Amino acid sequence: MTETINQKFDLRKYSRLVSKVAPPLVINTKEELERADTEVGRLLKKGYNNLSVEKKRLLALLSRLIEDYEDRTFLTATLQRRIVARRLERVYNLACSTNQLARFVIFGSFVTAKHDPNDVDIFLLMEDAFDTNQVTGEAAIIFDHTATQNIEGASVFWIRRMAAIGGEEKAMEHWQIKRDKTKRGIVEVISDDQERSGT
Amino acid sequence: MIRNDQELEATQERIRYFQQQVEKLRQVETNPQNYRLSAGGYLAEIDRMNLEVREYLWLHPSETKDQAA
Repeated sequence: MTETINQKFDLRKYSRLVSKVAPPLVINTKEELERADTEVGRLLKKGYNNLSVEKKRLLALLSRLIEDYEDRTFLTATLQRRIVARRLERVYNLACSTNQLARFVIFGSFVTAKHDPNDVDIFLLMEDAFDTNQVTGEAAIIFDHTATQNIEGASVFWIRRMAAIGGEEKAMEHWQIKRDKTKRGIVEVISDDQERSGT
Repeated sequence: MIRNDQELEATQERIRYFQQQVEKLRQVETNPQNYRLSAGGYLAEIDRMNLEVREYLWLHPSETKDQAA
């Protein structure tokens, strides 16, 4: 948003505008971000070329402040997402190590645009031959809901194929229903050697 | 947190579905350890949702509106 401004710039007018809508220094909270964002929207609605030179500078300032805030918060969110993604990868590898994993579905906040999901929600559909008595080592943990929550930071639900109410597709679809009864996206993880269409 | 009657209804439906899932596990899981581990997640979630329902129903409708505002 840089340009050569040939119109006369009125510093007092600009200062008045800044004190009215811009945060004192940098944007530090979501509320400040929303205010700045609303103001940018209001200015752009008028059409950039129709703005006074002071308003154009105000727009440039607000855009820069918003970018700065997003850069800072995105880094934090990425870190949190990476931590949760590592947990997810670990649970997936442990589930695969049983050789009895039929389907692996992720749902909840991790598969939304939420910047900082606290945990990851997983639904495992296991083959009918699966028997927890035969699972040894670390993999055994992921079939214990409470232990997985405490140790791996993941919320895992699992059943064998034969226990799926109304068939496995129906059982998977259930995880799409949100509290307000609308549907949310779910993600099925398919390994390279599996040929299956995703949800 | 349940915020309105529609969410209450959806939560109650989910509790019912989870209960049905546990009932199904009782029918098909012949191995007690498989059963407990598989049902454990659903039962924990039922407990959590029942608590949410209780907390919502504890409030008078006018208080629920105050909280939502």
